[in-house]
Amino acid sequence: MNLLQATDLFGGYGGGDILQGACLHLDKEEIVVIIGPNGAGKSSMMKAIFGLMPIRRGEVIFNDENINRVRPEDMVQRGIAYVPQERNVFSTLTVQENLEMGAYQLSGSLNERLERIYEIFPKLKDRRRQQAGLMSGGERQMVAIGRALMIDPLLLMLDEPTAGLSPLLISETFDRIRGIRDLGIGVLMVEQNARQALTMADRGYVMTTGMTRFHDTGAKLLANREIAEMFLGG
Amino acid sequence: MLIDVIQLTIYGIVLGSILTLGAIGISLIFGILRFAHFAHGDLMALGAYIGLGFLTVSGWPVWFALPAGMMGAAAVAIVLDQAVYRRIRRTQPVILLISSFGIALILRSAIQIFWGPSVQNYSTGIQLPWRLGDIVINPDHVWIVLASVVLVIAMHLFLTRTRMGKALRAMSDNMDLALVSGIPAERVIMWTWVMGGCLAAAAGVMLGMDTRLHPMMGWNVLLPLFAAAIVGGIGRPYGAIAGGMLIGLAMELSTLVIEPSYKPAVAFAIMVLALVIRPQGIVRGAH
Repeated sequence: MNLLQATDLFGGYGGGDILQGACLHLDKEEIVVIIGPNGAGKSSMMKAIFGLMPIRRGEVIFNDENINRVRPEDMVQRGIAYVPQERNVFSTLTVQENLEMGAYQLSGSLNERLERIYEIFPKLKDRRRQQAGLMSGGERQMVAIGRALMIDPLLLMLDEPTAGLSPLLISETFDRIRGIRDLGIGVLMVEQNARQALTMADRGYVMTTGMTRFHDTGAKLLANREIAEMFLGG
Repeated sequence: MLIDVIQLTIYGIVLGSILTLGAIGISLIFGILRFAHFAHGDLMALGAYIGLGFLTVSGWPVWFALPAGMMGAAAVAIVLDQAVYRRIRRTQPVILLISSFGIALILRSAIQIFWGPSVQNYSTGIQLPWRLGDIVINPDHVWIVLASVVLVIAMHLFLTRTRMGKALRAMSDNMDLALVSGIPAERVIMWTWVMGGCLAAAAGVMLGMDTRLHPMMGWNVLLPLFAAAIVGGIGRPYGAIAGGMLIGLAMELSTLVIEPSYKPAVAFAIMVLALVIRPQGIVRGAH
């Protein structure tokens, strides 16, 4: 069951291509992680898929539809939610207002949706009236992911969700992401904590210089000595 | 001396209420569109004149100038945005700023063409002031302050209770995240102009009631308006309330020691001082 298929992507912001023929696919209810050195184009890959970076060549198919030219604000309606790496909460808004903004395009009552998010992140319910900018890094990450989940997405895209978190919070976040996958949501994520991420992911891609070099199941990538030496620090 | 201070404080609160309404608009527009809207003073004046035009045509009581001016200025603001600002939105902020200067001149000339260059009044009757001992209170002043409070509360409810108001705050907080969340930027921008136009016109009508109407009335308060917005931390509508009151009070109280004609200079001095000492504004925010 193919949910997302990116084929031979070339693209950048005008000054030369950052992506140099990257490919990737993701099945329904699957966690796929992209790892690789800094500047390999991991975040650019995410931005290209979400319509934030122009695609010059290649195509992105989501749910059997070409979404190459779909604008970011319309991705939400197709069921794709994206959490950027930095500045991913509205810091002057309360937790609940942050969540409401995630579902801006949906009409009708939000209470049911809010309750579902509070079930996944019970801590947010107690702090729903707090300003998001005043929360800790881990809590802000919950708000950011919660906001993205408000639309009930088919695909959740996370750019380095564990950046700057303590080891304990990192494993907690990975547990949550597995929980989200078990709700029937596909998760595509970029990660610096490659080892841990590959351990919990269904499949992984290794990117260098704008290309996806290797892909396999997480376990097999971890077992591959060449990859371990080059990208996982031996 | 004490009587003078109390009397001037009352005038300061009245002027502060008027400046607050204008400064909130400047702050909102800056927060969403990231440029200093120099036509705001003249938009304020145009609102006042639209109110006057409505009174002339309808013959209704003076206070109807307020809703009429607000609706008129909001409509003008939307048209200006669609016809001018929207087309240059993706260029540099300085281009928008210079364009707003041009719009200011156009609005002022339009006022002169339709209503003439001379001074006009909403009502010609003489109002009997209320006296509390030696303190004189003008009934209009009470209404101006009350109407400002009502409008600020309405703005607060809009920004915190409605979906569009929250989206407006979200976009002002983090434009990129608003985009990926699916918040419709153009609709939010339109509402920003509606808010800015309504509040500007309200300020203009009240200024016209307090003094009189003149084509230069908006341009003359532009500097205090920006001083209020900047002192309050530009981009933060709630800061503009504190900024407006501070500038209004300082301008009126300064007349105790210096010539009244230096009032705008007082506003300017406070603005410069604020930029040097506390450029983020007096109200704390999470920016």
